[in-house]
Amino acid sequence: MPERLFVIAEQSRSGISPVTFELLACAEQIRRIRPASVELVVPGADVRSFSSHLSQVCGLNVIGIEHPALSVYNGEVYKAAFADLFKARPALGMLAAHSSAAWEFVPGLACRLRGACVTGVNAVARVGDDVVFQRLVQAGRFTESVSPAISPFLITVEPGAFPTLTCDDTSPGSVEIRRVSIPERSSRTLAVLPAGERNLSLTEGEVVVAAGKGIKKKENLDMIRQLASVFPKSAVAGSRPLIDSGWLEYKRQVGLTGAKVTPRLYFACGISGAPQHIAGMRGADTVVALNTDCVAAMFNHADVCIVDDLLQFIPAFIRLAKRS
Amino acid sequence: MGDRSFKPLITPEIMRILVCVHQVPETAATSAINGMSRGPYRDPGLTYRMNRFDECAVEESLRIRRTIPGSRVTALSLGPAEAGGAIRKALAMGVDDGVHVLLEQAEHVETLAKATWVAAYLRENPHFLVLTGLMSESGMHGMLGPMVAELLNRPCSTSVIKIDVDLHKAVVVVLREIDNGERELVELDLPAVLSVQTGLNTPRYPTLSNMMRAKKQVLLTVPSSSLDQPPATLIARGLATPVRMRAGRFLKGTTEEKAADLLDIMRDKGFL
Repeated sequence: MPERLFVIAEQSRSGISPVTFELLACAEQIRRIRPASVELVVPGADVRSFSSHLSQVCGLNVIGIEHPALSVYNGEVYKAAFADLFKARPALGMLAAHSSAAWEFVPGLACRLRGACVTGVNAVARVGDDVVFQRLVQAGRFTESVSPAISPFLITVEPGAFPTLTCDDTSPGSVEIRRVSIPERSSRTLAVLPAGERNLSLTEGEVVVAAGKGIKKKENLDMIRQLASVFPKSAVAGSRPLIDSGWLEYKRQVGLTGAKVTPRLYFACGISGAPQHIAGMRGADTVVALNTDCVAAMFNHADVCIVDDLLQFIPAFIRLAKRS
Repeated sequence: MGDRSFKPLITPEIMRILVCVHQVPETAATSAINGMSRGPYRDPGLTYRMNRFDECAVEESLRIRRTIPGSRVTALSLGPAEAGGAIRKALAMGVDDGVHVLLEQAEHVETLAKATWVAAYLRENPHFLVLTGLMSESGMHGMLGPMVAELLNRPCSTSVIKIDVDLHKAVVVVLREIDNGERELVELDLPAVLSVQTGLNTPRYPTLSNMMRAKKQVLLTVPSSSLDQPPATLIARGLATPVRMRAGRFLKGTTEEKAADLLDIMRDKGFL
């Protein structure tokens, strides 16, 4: 039986979501270890035109899963729809972007399929003939490696971790639309609420000075503001723990659940560098990290690393910058 | 399942909330671990504390208990001996009972096994609500809640930032964080499994009287070896130091020297 990998394609407002091509790159790395065909899967209420667009752009076979209830995300509906797909078309594995939706339904789906589940995969490696998935643990300090012991394996892939695959096979793949029946369910999505107001200076600022738990006291935010004021066109931001403590407003949060920023300079003060934070700033041109902990994960994502007490270092830096 | 008029829900015996808590190593203490350790992270020198996400889950369980007279909260932890610390902390915060599923083997235990044991406990001891933290800060899988829900065929919601229980309608309405700052309002039939995100509350500090009680309270301890062992789905291949994503240059010298160095770099790059 030829082995098969399902890749869940994501649709964005402007077409195919870029993360889809990252998933295809990840699938390509898996295929080098375990030969398999790749099929794109699109769940939704009306997916025919998007499916045929995908098949043309990617040159791959596309399976659309249609049901009116798939117009919005619902964990039970998704689990039912994908379990049905796996029943009809046994597969070696499935790749989904590590989104709030996939993180919720994929582990349960893996249980239902008696398969293996790995969340937050950021690299693929090989040991003998086995595929190895790597993911961050311990707030980003270590990489854990695991291999699926059974199939199917269902993985969620960290956005931004894989390069974008360029699809050069231009012969379109086949499109199959599957209609599924969804059993009665016990949860209902009532509404999707839009994101709150965003701080424009954060997403448009050339320099973002961000503070984390390492600043220890709310009063020390003044020092962060002073540091920011040294740079023209700068903005102050914070990591989630700071926002949770109420020290900064939500609109100043950078990370997976906050703003994604791409400044010329990102200056991280007392931020440990958990992957959820990195997800919001990995596009910065230059990153400076300041932390007392010499093995803070933030240093793995920095161009300039300073191991020092920020309460000492920042005033020293401001003094020097103002003097000259 | 899915029967909205699930009567036993409002009987006092099962007006119970289960909150799963996990003990994690202090982040700063883990720097010594390296190489191809097979995890879990259990060096003798480590100090442990309750997972931050779980502190929020405990706080939320206590808040909900206050709104439902007669309800009780049980804290359950799966882990080796030190996991008892998380249960004691939960008791000190005000939880009523503690259950410790004691993992005797030092080897890695999969989330699926943990979920199987939580589900087994819940089948014997019905609860109307199960709370977990969104993920453990150590393992960062975020799979326990979704797997428990699946094994019990109950609905599940993750990354929850607001919870409203309506026992009369036998539903819970939650607000959950989704991507790009959007949020989703979801209604789930009870019993339901929720994993909570930080920020939905500020976890309380234990009171002295609760701390005294927590010390003395007898926990229900269940050795994991006495429970069903689900088949392994993963092969653990060890831990390593992450690949550096940027060639970070560490500045050297005194604070003043490093500050001067950084100033030069900032000027070179045209930021100042």
